[in-house]
Amino acid sequence: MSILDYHYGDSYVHKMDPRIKMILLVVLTIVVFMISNFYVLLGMFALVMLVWKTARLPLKNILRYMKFLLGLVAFLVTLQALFFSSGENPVILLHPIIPEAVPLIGGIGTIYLDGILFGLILGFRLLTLVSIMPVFVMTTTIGETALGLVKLGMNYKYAYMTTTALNLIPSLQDEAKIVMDAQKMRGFQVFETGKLMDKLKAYTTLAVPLVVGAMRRAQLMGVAMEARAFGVHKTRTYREVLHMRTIDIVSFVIVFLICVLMVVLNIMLGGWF
Amino acid sequence: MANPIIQVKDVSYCYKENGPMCVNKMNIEIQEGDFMAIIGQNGAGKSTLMKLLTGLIRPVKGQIFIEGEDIAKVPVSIISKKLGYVLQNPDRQLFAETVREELAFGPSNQGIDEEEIKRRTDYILESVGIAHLADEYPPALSKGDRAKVVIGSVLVMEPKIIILDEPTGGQDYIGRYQIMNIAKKFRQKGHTVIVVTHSMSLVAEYCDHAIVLCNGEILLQGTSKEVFSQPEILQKTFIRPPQITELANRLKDELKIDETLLCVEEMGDRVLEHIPRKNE
Repeated sequence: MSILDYHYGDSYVHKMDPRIKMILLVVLTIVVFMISNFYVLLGMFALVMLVWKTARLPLKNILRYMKFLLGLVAFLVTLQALFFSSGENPVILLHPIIPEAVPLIGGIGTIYLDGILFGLILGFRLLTLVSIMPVFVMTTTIGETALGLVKLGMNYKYAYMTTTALNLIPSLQDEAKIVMDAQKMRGFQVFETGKLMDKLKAYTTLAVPLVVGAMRRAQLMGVAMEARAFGVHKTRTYREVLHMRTIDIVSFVIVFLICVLMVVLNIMLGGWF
Repeated sequence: MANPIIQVKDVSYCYKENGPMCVNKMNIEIQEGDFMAIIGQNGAGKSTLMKLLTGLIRPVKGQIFIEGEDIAKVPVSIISKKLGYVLQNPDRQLFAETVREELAFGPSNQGIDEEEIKRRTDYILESVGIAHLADEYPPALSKGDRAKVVIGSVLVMEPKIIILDEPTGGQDYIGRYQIMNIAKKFRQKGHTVIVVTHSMSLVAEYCDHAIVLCNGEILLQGTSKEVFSQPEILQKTFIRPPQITELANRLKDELKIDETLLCVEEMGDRVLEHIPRKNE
C-alpha cells in the first residue's frame, strides 16, 4: 500500500473531523518550517510519529519511503558541506580539490562543519515533513476531504478539483506501472537492467501515455459530471454530515499548544544544535 | 505429442500476502501453433495468468516454462523476444509520435538493424491494415485503429507466441473480426496465439482449444468443441456456449446431431439435410 492511499481503520485519527485534520496539517507543516533547532525538530518528529501510532498506521510504509529519502538527505548534507556560503565556524580542513584559480567552482573541497549541520537540519526537516501529509491522506477518505474543504468555505467545484487531483496520484502511479509493463513487453530493458541515469531518462517516455490517458479520463469525467448536473447550482447538499466533537477540539488544542511550545523552545534554544 | 511451447506447472499466485490465491495450483500445457482461448468471468484469474506467463508477476509457487526454459529469473524484456503480450487498454501502450515509430519501438529495443525494422514495419502496416495511418499520431486514432496499432507493434517483434488480452473489448462488429483475423493470419504462419475473451462466438469460430477458469482454478480445458459440449459445467461460471451451439443441443434429437456444433455453417448443413428439396 502506498502512503498516498486511504488506509481503512477505525482509529481515533480516522474518526476525527477532517476540518481539524486539515488545519492541523497546515499548522504542523508551518511549524516544521519555522523550527531550526535540531532537538526541537526531533521533538516534532516524535510528535508526528505519535500521531502515526495513534492512527494505527503501518510504520513500515513510511519507513520504506524514508529509506529512499535518506539518499536525498545524504545528497543535501554533501551539498551543504561543500557549498555552505557562510561557513565561518570551525571548519574541517581539507585541501581544495579544485584549484582556487578555476572560475566559479575553484576552491571546492573544503568541508564546512556548519554546512554539515545545516544539511542535517534540512534533511531531518524533510523527513518530518514527508511524515505529516500521509497521516492525513491515509486516514481521510476523498469524500471527507472534499466535504471538509467545502465546510471550511471552499467552493465545492474547487474542492472537487482538489480531491480529484489527490485521487489522481495513486491512479497515475498504477497507470505508470502498466505503461512500464507494456514497454518491457516491447523489449525495453532499461527499467529492469538499466543504470540509474538511463532509468531516469526512460521515465520521460512515460509522459505521453500518462498525459494522454489523464486527459482522456478528465474529459470523460467532465462529461459524466455535467450529465449529472454538476455545477448547475451554486451550492449542493451532501449525504454525509460532519460533526465536530468535543474530543476533536480538545485534540486540536493540545496539538496546537505543543506546536506553540516547540516554537517557543526553538526561540529559547536558538542555533542549530 | 510434441513438447509444449508453454508449460505451467502447479503455479499459484496471490496479490496480497496471505490473501486469497488468484491462481491456484494451475497446470497447463500449450502446444506450438495452437490457437488457445482463455475464458472465465471477471476475476477468474485470466489476466493474472497472462501476467504470469509474461513474467510481469512471478509465481508464489510452481514453475513456468517457455520453450522448455524456466522463466523464473528471466527479465520481462528478454521473455518478450519469445512472447508478445497485448494488454487490455491500447492507450497505455502507445508511446511514439507516429504509427511507424510505434511499430519500430519494439524491434529497436531488440537491436534489430534499421533495414530489417523497415521491412518488418512495412509488412505489418500492410498486413494489419494500417498502412494509410503510418504517419498519424497513434493516440489520436479511433479505438479500433489504436487496437490494431498495438497488436501490430507486438507482431512486428515476431514473437513465437502472442497473447491478446481482451483484444475485441469495445470494438464494433467489423473491428472484432478484423482483429481476430489478424491473429488468425499470425497463427497460420505457425505462431501460437492465446486470446483472453468474453466472446464465446469468437472462441467457437477461431480457437482450437479453450481453458475455462473459475476462481483461480481450471474448470475445464480441451478443444473448443469439448468445452462447449459441457454446458452444465460451464453454467457454474455463468458461461453460455454460443447461441448456435445451444440451438443445436436443443434440436439434437430432431436433427440427429451427435456432436457439438460451433458455427452456423455446420448447423445449416444439418438443417438442410432434414428439409426435403423441392425437386425431390
